[in-house]
Amino acid sequence: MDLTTTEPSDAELIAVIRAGASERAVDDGYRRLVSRHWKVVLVLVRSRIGSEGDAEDVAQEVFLRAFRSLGGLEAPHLFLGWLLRIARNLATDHLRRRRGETSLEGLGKLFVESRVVDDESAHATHERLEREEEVERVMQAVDRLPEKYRTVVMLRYLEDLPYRDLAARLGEPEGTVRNRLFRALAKLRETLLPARHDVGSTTAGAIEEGAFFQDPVNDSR
Amino acid sequence: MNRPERNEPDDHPLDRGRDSDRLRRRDGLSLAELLDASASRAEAVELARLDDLLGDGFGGIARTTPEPTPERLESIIDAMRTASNFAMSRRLRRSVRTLLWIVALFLSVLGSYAFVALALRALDR
Repeated sequence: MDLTTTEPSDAELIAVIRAGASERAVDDGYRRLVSRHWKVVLVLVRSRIGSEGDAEDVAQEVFLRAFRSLGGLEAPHLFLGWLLRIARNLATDHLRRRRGETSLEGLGKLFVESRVVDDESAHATHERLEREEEVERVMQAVDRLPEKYRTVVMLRYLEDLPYRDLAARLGEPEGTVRNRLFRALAKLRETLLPARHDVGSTTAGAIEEGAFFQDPVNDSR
Repeated sequence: MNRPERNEPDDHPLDRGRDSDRLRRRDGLSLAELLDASASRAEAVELARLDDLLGDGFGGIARTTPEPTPERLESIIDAMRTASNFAMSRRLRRSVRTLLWIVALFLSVLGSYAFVALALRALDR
């Protein structure tokens, strides 16, 4: 298979690696799989164990563990989901070994750290800070989503992928992925709406005033 | 990754051409789709705002998440090569061992046959 003219799917790359026709093709297959999924694996690991240097080592171990077990992967088109499961397990194991506990850092904290790294907040206006707090709450809510919804949200927004590519990566039909993303957003909306808020009485005007996605407990507005 | 310019907090996501364009460009939650899938316009507005906030949140994380370095890639590939060579040598060792067992079995059967034949010949005399 010629891997240089078109962008092969995960399943095609795995077939090349399994066939082992030439060392160059196999190396190229590994390289493409790592490059394609590195970010999402690293973000998942960092969201669990923090952003310290060993997150990249754990991410590397995730790929090694996956590649060593490629022979036993029965559905290569579902490679990404399988890879993310390995990432979650290894991150949890790492956390247990390191701290003897399984508390997660979460996407919310990761977002806060990204602001610090970006140094965008140095001259932030009050409105901007409020918006960033709102983003942080949304990211925390993503952490609480069931796994299948969290995965689709992460891929969609982290990689900025269109539905076609998203479906290809997840090995599922485009319509299924589209519906899942919409359901994920609906679940996030339910989580984020303040408990006292009556959904039936929602008005666009209230949204314009920034009344949504506030912390129901620490609502200081 | 081309991220759109950040919204001001009091912007109305569905009433602004820039946001609608952005959503369409990303082949994502277009205005029509949101309105179609939502129970009300208000819900569609909230979902559009969520879409925007998620774009901001993950966009920030994506910007600060490094791509794999060439050294990291080579390290993974080297480890896989080593694992592959190790697996191959293990397979080879296993094959050689099996072959040796077969030869030993064959020789022992042959030896037994020769012994029995010699014994029978001795008895005949």
